[in-house]
Amino acid sequence: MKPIAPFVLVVLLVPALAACKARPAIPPTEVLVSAAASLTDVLREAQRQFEAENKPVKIRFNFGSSGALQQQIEKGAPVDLFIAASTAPVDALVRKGSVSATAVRVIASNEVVLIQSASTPALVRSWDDLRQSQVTKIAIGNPEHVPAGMYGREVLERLGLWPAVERKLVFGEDVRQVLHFVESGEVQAGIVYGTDAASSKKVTVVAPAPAASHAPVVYPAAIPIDARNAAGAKAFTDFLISPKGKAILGKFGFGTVD
Amino acid sequence: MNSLLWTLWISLRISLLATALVMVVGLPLAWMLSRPRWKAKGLLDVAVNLPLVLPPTVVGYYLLLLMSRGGPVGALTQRLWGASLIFTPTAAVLASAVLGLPLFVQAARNALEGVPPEAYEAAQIDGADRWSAIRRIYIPLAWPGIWTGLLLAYARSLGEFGATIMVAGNIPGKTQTMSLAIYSAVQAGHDSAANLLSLILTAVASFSMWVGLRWRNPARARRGGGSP
Repeated sequence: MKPIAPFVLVVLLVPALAACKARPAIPPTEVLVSAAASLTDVLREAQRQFEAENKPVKIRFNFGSSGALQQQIEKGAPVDLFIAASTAPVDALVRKGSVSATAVRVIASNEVVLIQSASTPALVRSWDDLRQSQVTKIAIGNPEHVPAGMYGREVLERLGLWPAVERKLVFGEDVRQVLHFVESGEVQAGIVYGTDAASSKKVTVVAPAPAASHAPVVYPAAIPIDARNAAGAKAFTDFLISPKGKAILGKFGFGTVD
Repeated sequence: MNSLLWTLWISLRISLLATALVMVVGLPLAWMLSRPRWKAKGLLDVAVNLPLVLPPTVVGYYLLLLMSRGGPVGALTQRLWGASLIFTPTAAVLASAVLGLPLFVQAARNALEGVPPEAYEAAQIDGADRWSAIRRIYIPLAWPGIWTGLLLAYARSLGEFGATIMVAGNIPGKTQTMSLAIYSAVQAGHDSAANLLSLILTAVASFSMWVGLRWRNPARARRGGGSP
């Protein structure tokens, strides 16, 4: 057998080195938006209209969990606009000096709702029904790091239900997982956002959380201090809070803020 | 459809480049670890295998620290070309390579350890120096194991998610791999898109593993079918 290893090595190494050469990260007409994954659909729709009206500006998205997106910006990722699913990650960036407090604007709001599967017989008719012994499993986002779970815990605590339901809770690693648990009937109820409930035909809303039972669910948009295209980021934020942007947000079930 | 093919291309490119990098870095490491006891061998052994034990998101967080402006890699790239690697395909290649490295090193090292000392002694009698013994005796005899290691690293890379999304982001058309696209589709509630993507990734992974395993076969290699 011929010694083929050096040959394989050279063939594979050349493109590897080529990929490592320097290249300017982002052209100046591009706006890189790091956004909470739950905003995927509504932001794509907003992007289509915005790009049509603002040629040649292009929006590029980086969708992920708000916590991970925060870490990336903190470590200097070249992000122009950060749209988070709660105020906590943006507040943390303001504290650490990656975002100036004046560069934060709230673009949308949401509701916290209690849902159950549409296909199984209705077991839960109110928040209080979560106490019942037939309700054995309730899905919420992991309150350690999933914003919807933090709101969920807050609601359960304010309603005085936490001690009764704590042992029944099943944690989802994101709000979509909570939705899937409820859709599949594996749990009797779950706590998600109004927009998630509206996106699925397999679940029904039992009741929204009373307004005073949790901090308002808002989506802040923040322009990092190191943004390369702060002007583009500001233009996109302006679009989102314009009447056109509000119409798109409303279409996907989000509340808007004045 | 076009963007789907592009995503697949990004995935394959990152996996192949990561595999190449693993080979370049991992073969000397496997060689060193296959030699009899020497100072600090245990330390190197632990360091190479660490990514196997840590959750990928933790590995990703460490890499993010290294690549940030304050980190050694970030400071270097900042000086070299005035930009960080965060959110580039190169970052994804590095993340995949770090996670694939222990798999490759283990397989290659076992194979190198299995080469009988007599083969090396015979080569020495014939006047071969150390380097040509490695090239002509050790690597050819250990090749099935080395190739298996490459396949494992490639497979790990194709399915990589946690570390990649930390350092390379999830930017469609740029750093979004098939695994990240599946995550995004699930997060957005696009279940049928997620199913389609999963199906395609499964098919591509199965096909490439099938091809790879055929090449591993020593009988084929002897007939000269060993080189890609």
